[in-house]
Amino acid sequence: MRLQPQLDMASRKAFLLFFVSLFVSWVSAAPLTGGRILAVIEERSDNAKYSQFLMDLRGRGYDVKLESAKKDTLALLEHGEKAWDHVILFPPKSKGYGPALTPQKLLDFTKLGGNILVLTSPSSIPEQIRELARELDIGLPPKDYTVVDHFNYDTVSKSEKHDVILATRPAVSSAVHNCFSGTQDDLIAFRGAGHTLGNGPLLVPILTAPRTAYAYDSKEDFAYAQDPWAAGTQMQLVSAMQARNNARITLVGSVDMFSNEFFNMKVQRPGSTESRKTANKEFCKDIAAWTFGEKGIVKVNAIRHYLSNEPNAPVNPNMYRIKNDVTFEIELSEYNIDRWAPFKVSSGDSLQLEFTMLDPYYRVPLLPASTSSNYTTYTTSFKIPDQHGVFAFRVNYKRPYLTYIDEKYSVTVRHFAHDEYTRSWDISGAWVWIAGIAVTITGWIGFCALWLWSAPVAAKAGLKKTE
Amino acid sequence: MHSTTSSRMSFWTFFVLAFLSLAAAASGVWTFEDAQAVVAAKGGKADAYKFSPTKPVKGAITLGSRDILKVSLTVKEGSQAGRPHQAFLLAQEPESKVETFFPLSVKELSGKAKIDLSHKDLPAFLLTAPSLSLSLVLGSFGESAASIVTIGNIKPSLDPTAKALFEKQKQKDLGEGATVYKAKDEIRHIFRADPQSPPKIITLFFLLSVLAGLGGLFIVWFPILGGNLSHLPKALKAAPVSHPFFFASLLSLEGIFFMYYTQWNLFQTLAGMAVVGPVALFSGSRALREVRARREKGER
Repeated sequence: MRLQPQLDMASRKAFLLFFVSLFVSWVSAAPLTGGRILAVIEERSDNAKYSQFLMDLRGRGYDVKLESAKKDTLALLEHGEKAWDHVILFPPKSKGYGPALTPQKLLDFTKLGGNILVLTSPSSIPEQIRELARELDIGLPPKDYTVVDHFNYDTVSKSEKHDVILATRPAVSSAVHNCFSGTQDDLIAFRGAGHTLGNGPLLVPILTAPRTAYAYDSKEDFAYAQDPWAAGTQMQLVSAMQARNNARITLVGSVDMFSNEFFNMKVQRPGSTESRKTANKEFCKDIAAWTFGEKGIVKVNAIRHYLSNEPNAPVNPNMYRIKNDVTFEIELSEYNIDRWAPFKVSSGDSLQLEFTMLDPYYRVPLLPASTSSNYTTYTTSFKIPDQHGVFAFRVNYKRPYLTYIDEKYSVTVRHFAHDEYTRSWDISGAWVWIAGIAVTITGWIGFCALWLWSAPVAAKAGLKKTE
Repeated sequence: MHSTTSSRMSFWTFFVLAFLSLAAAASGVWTFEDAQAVVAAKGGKADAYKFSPTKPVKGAITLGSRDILKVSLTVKEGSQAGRPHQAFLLAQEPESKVETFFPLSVKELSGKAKIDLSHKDLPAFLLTAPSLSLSLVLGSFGESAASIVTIGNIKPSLDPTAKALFEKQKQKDLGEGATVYKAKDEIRHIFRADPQSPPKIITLFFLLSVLAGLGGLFIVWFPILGGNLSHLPKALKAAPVSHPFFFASLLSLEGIFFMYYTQWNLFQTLAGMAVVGPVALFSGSRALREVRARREKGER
């Protein structure tokens, strides 16, 4: 060793470089909103049931830790900070989750920006989750209420209960940027409980029950559904709440959806001739990706406003004058799994700019002007209102499935300066008055000349000229 | 899949076949027959409408606020009477596709099913709709295929006061005042009207009349009253410096005012005044002294 210090240094350097590069690649592979996932799962053996889903998460750079809800040291927060970035709650075998996962603690976790994926099954909706759902205005059915659909069930699994129902992705809408309406003819197998949603704007449906589905008590042996808990498209199978701080809580009525069994299952609708593979793997990936902030994240890169008609106008000045022509630009990116992509506003939707002083004086659509590799520039021009005061450019873009954008920049709008008004000779109505002044001046000069130099013409008129 | 015929007609195969055909009869399609919808008005006559899986009720059934729509039918599984697990009447608002359901009560053996529908069963949203489409869903566990059939339309009729009340309830149900995250209405500022000048022709008329006034003044001064500048040589002889300076300073004062009007600021104007003012003062006092001298001599 001592004989070859040079070589030693070189190998050490190579070694270090290797680790640095490893570290760099690890850092760049970490998901946008943090990679620490706590998966609360009661029994380690259950891990195998969901291994494909968990492997998929690990493959995207997440560090998934499986913990039992019963573990004493389990905590969502540590020293007032998040100990995890995301939490997956698998349904517990026992009645509840234990003291570490009370609704209050879960909400505190979301207040710090943590995302939660709640997986339930009809037989296991713990009281903590019910309480959490009540806070979010999500209506959960009583225990053992299962969704069935005699029109859209899987015939391959030979279930007499018709409880493996085949749902389709939400329809593509021109008004909503729905991160979940992927391939439209995908079949998603679902076995579990439905729920209902309140009217709040923070709640979004992700997977809606088919029209003919209904929920009934599978443990009571009624001959027929006299009093179903809910039915039809008013019932949701998967829903989410995006809090005002963009933290996301997703509630899934079926834990089986995420299982290897459902990922690999071949399903067939009644009446159809061929069986197809479920799209559960892709759909569950979408759910996890959205919940953990890999999709539907919109970022403002830059905001610019300036005078439209001046080529060298300063960008983002503090002051404008009334009736100035102003151009406003905003650059938006959307995160998609592993990179920032240009954000595209849906055709039926509108990204709007407000120019407000207490109330909006303008609310105008921002239109895409140019697109780069990772952002779109939206722009609009307008004439500043004839009202002076402190105004704000505001882009308040809040839409379901997307993180909320609320950008506000104040500018002062001043009145015309004294030398910015139209000159009087440009106003035709003023010509008479201008002529009046000119006449007065000419008359005055003439009068002075006469006073100074006029000789009396007494012989002719007998009067002094200027009395 | 169940009614295969075989040429070998042993007793056993015959038995199996008989059993299978029975099963086929039982596991066909859920359907119904003897269906009718009766609108029973309180104390009044009842209108009956017959319908079948293939023939829905033609036209819309008007449902008054005190009427009860009684739908009765016999549910069949294939050709046998049966009771499905799901027997719902669906009422849908066709435009928004908002739908609600009403489970039918079905007798187990006879398959006789009925449901009563009146205004108080319907939520305000559907009640205020111009027309509702009614469908019947029959489905159950097992082999028999489920069916969904449109059976007709109803038109809930409301008197104006009730309608207003339900509209209010509907707004409440929809979360009146609650925020909905979507694009809002566009707003464009309406500017105050720009000040207007009168028509140019009127302006020009008055402009000309003002100028004519000046012309009139000069006509009155010179030809009529005999104004002249005959004393100018005399004045220049008596005070050769102060007369031109005084008159020039008067002109330049007006010039300074003109410059102030067009481009100068107040400080430039004041500077100009400071130069021209004393000149006007001193030359003016000399010039006017000369004028007084002429008057005292009796020349004026």
